[in-house]
Amino acid sequence: METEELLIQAEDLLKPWTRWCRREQSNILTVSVSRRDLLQCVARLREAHWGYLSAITGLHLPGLTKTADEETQWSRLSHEVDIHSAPPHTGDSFVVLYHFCHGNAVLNLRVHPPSLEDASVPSICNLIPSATLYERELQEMFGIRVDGTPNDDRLLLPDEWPQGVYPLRKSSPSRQAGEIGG
Amino acid sequence: MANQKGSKFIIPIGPQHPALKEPGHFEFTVDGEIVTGASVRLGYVHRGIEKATEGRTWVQNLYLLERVCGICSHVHAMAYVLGVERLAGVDAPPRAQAIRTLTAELERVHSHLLWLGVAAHEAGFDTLFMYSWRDRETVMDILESLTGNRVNYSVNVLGGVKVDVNDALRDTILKGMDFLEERTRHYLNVVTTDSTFLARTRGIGIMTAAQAEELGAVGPTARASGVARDVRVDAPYAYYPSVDVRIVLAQAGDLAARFVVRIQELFESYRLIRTILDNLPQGELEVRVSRRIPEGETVSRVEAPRGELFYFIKANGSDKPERIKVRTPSLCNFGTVVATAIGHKLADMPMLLAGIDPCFSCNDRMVQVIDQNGASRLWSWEDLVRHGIETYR
Repeated sequence: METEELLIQAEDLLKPWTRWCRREQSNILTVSVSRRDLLQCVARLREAHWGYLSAITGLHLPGLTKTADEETQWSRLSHEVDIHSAPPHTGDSFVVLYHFCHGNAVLNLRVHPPSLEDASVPSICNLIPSATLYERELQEMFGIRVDGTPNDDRLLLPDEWPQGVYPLRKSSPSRQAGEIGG
Repeated sequence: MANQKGSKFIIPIGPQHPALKEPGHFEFTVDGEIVTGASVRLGYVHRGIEKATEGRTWVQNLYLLERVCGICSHVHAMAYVLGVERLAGVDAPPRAQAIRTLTAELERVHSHLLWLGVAAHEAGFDTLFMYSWRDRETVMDILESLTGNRVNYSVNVLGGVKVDVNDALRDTILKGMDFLEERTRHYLNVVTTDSTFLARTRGIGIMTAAQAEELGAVGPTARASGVARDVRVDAPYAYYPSVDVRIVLAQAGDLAARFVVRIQELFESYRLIRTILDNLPQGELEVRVSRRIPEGETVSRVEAPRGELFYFIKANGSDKPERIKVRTPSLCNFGTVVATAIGHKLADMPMLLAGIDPCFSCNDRMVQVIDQNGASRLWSWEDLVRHGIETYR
């Protein structure tokens, strides 16, 4: 099947739960869904044998003052957006992207928990067992809680790493190029 | 080896692992000699590269990301530049794409030969290890002539490449491929006919196509189980659309199949290298890419020697990325070791680990063996390998 047909198929499969969708590039489709619908979406993709889960990416979105990116996205999507289901863009929040690949086609299933305090997503390990490593990484690096993930032991960070410090949050300091030591 | 209380014995293996690059820690639960459970702990060489990319410019990141892996450094740089060029809306010239692809295939040859030697060593077959590494020097010398380096070739720049192939180098590469092809034919013969070697590989660590899919296996590990998945074929990038990559598959799904698939992929790489050199497009090597990359998100996938390498890149319009996510193929394949280990002898573990060609680091490795009396002794990696070899003697 051609890439275009695959992406149209994915769009159709996820239509009942789609909040908005957009094309990043000719072969990349992003579909935003509510986290309570995530499992149904993943189950639907699995039933239809639409590709495989390639990775899970976490993103830290800064709060309203700096959300030019998200703002323009929202306006760009005018007719697709159900404004009532829009997340409150008042503070920092996370986005979790589930990347499914099928041939040349890439589908990003996008989940947007409302705030840092309420940052959790359901585990998809019952549907895709191999997601366990990605979910562990997401929990460690961002502090996004993955409800029901089968194993939440440390995967990547050292044993003595302090609790509650999540390196990939924007608030975590990073060393700049050229800095040595630390 | 369950004790009277019925509790389980857990054998920790790692984190240090001397033969392969990158350390990882596995815990195998054993009942006597048989593994009944396994778990994995990674991160001993976690350097925070994803975080570090956010504080560096697009150009600096090229050098940083090339250092994610010491074996397949070029594919990391390639996944990155292809993604960034896409966001920037530029296409590298055809000659640059051809040279990128050429380097990627040379790198695959070096990586697969390296793996062949390492895996042979784990099996106690050091003659094969030494011969295959001697022959690997041919491709290392070619890479050095082409790029100036044996590893971390630094071929890519944003918008193109900075090395070129002249006629003399072309002849050297072709001559090298002829030599390696002949040697590889011999190795294929060895791993498929040597009875002591087959005793270590045939029927060990069998993974069906359905399991491979379920466990998220990628690359040669998946293809040895009959899963026809290769980014070069499914989503051709760089110069791959102009060359017809033939996917190498095996159905057995055991260790022997993983050997056969990787060795046959070498033949395919030799063929691709010849095809690229015969049809090398003329023209520029590089186009200009602006220092700031326009806002956007992209996914860049390439076929590394170990399987699909995945990059997610988000740009915010500045000279630094907003986020770069790297998912390496070894991460996907670790899950398969944990699952296929169950039911096998402890002695098979070194080969099972080596069978996925993981990136593990060069340190001494200890195994703590706890016997029924609760006394423990430490095993080094050498002890474990010896245990494997003795068991099959």
